[in-house]
Amino acid sequence: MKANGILLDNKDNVATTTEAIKQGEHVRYFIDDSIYSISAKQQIPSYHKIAIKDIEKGEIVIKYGEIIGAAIVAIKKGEYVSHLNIKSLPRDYNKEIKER
Amino acid sequence: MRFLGYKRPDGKVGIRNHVLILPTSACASETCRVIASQVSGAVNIINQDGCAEVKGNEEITQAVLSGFAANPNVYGTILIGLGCESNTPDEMVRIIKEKTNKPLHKLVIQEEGGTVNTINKAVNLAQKMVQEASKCMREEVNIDELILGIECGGSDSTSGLGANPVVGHVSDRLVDMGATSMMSETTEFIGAEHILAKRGATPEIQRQIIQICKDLEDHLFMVNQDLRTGQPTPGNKEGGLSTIEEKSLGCIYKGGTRPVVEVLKYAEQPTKKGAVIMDTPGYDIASVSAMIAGGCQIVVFTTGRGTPTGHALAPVLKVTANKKTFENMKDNMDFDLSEVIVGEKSISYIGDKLLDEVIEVANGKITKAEAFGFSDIAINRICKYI
Repeated sequence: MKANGILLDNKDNVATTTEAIKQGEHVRYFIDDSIYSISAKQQIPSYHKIAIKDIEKGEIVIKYGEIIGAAIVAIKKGEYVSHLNIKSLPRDYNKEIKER
Repeated sequence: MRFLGYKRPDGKVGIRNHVLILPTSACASETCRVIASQVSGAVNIINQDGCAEVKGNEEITQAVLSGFAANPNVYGTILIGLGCESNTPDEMVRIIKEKTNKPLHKLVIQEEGGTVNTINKAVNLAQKMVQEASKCMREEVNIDELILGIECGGSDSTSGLGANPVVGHVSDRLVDMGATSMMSETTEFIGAEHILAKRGATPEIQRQIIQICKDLEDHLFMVNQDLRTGQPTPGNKEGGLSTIEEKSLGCIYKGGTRPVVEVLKYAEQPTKKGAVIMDTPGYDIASVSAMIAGGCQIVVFTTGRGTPTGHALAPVLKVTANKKTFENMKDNMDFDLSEVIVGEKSISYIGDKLLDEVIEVANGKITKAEAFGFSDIAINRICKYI
C-alpha cells in the first residue's frame, strides 16, 4: 500500500498530506519502514496538515520534531490543521541572544 | 565509506581536476574567458568586481576569488590582472598563497602590453598546466575528506516535505562518518533561527546562529526591507504553510540534525569537520559560489520548480521531489526524489540512494550542469559600487 502523507519526525503530532484527501478517506504515512493510517474527519487539501493525535487548546503543535506553533482551539485526531487553528508562539529575539 | 579523489599538495582532496583562469577584477574577466576557450581543461569564472568597491566588499571579493583557487577541485591557477585595480594582483597572490601551495602564475595586462600578448603567454602557461594536471591520478580516500555544500532554490511544497528532509538524511549520514556538511542561506533561517540555534554544539555557536540572523535583518532594515512581517505569505498558506516557523523549518531541515560545530563568514573555510553553517544570502548563486570558495567539492541543490544553475569548479547536483519538475526540466535535473512524495518509499531509503549518487558524482560522474558547462557566479555585496 502506498503512503499519501508524510510524517517528518516521530515526535510530530501532525502529518502532511501529499494528495487531496476527502472526508472519511485515510491518510497513510511511513514511520521508519512501516505504514500507519488515520481517518480524515474533514476534507484536507494536498500538502496541508492532519492531526494524528488530539491537540488541546493552547497545546504545542510539533512538525519536523520542533514547535511550529500552538493550537488556538481544541483539535481532534484526524482534523484539518492550518493557519486558521494554529498560531506562532510569541518570541523575544533580544532575550534569545542574551540568554546564550 | 570511501571515494576516489585527487590528493593535492596542500593536503586537501579534489573530485575534479580543473585549471583555473582567474581574473582579479572585471577588467581582466573577458581576457580570462578567451584564454580558457583556447585550452581544454581550463575554466574561467566571470568576475564583475575587484575594483571601485569599498574595503568591506573588496575583502569579500578576495575571499571568494582566493577560495576558488584554493578549492581542492582546482589543480592550479593562472591569475590575470589589469594592473591598476584596487584588488591588486600582488595582493591576490599573497592571499592565495596563504591558503594553498598549488601551482600559481600571475600575468598583468598593462605590463604585458595588452590583451593579445597576455592571452598568448597565458595560453602557453595553461597548456603546460593542463598537461601536468592530466598526470594526476585519483586515489581512494576516506569519506571524511568530503565537504558537501547544501542549497535550496526555486522551492515549492515538495521541497520542505520531500527534498529537504532527504538531503538532511544524507547530511546526517555523512557527518556520522566524519565528513563535513555545509548549509547556508541565512535569509531562510529567519523564523526558526531559535530552533536551528539549538543544534549549536556550544552556547557561543548558538549565540552566533541567532546573531547572523539579527545582523542580516538589521542590515536590510537600513534599506526598508522587512523579512518577517507578512510571512508566511498568502501563497504559502494556500500551499499548506501555517506559521513562519513551519516555513523556515522546511528549509533548515535540509541541513540535518547533527550538532553545528562552526559558524563561518561568507566564503570562509571551515576549520572543523562535521555540520557547519555559512552566513550567506538566500540568493542561490551567491550562496553556492561562497560555499565552493569555502572548500565544498560538491553541492547538492534541492529545487521544487527547477533551475539550471551550475558552477565552473564543482558539480552542483540538482535534486527534486516534484515528479512533474523532474520530467519537465529533465535536461537540468539530476536525481528524482519524488518517490518520497508519492508515498512509494521512505525518506531514509531515498536518502541512502542519494548518498550513493553523491559518491558516484564525487568519483567522476558528471552532472547535467557540468555537461552543459554552466558556470554561475555571484559575489555578495554590502553596498553600492564607488
